[in-house]
Amino acid sequence: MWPDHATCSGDDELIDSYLDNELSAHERESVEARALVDAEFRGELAAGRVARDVLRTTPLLRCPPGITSGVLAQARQSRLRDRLPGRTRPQRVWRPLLAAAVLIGVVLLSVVTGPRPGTNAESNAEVQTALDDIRMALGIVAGVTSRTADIVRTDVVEKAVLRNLLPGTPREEAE
Amino acid sequence: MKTLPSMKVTLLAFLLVMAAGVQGVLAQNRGQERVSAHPGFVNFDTVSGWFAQEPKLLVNVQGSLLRMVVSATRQEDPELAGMLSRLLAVQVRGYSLGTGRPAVERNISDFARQLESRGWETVVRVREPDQRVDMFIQTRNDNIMGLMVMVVEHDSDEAIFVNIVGEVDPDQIGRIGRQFNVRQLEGVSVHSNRSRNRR
Repeated sequence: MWPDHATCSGDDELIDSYLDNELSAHERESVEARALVDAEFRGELAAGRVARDVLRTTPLLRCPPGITSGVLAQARQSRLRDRLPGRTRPQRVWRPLLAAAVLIGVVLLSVVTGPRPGTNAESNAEVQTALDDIRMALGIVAGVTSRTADIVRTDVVEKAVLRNLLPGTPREEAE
Repeated sequence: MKTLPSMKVTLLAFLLVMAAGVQGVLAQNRGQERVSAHPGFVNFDTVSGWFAQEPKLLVNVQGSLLRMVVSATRQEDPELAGMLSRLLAVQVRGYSLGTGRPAVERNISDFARQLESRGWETVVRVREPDQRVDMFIQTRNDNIMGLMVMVVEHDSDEAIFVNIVGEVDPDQIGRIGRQFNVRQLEGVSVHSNRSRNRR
């Protein structure tokens, strides 16, 4: 009777345990007895022994210095990004929006504070026209006051003076 | 990949740009509101409703344009520049009367009463066969804050409206205005057909 785990599906595990000296004395004897009568099992056992020998004779590769700390640092950064999603991933999401907003701001600023359409000569002409318009408006007001003064002088003051100079003059005649 | 500090700088720059833009727009709007809310301002929308046609003469000089005029005249005519620097706006409208003159004159009389009810004081009222003139001033604390003139010329069949918004000195206006070769109202004609509206 073979050990419980010496089934076909568990042969690899049994052989590995045998080669690694992890079996009890009784189990070892069972394996060796089976190898005498079971050619296929014997072949697998021999292949496992060869594989073990090859692995044992392969030279060891040593890790370059600092690789452990580098991997750990990268793992820590990755974990930090996962913990702060709002400060990392939205950065990419906001980028086009931010660019659009800056563009709008620049356009708005240029509209408000930028140079007016037209050349300096046109601006000067515009100012000159505005000055003429203002002068015209002031002229209208001055004309009104001047004309009012004329009316007051001729219709009120002069007639009053005339009445005073000619006391006998009837009021209607003086006016 | 952009780092957080550079992101902050970009955001800060964006906010500054936006703030400057918004500030400019608000300043422009504030200036416009400041003029229309000034006690010396007269809204000419009422006047334009009396006429079927567009004004033949339209002048709105205020804001940046008025400041540019002040700067332009400072060397050449300091007295004019000084007077203009205390103004907020100069508005002029000129219309042909045609057959609607009686209605316009009635509207002007009604408008004169409205102005008086809003604190405007009539300083000149002339009723001549060929002309009628109304001049009003708006005062605050003994300072004249606005001046409004309405003239109807029968001979030329024209109506002219002038509103000067700001601190006004009538003596100075008369003195300066007489320099511009406007002999009474003879020099004023709406046939110039100028239309300007710049704030």
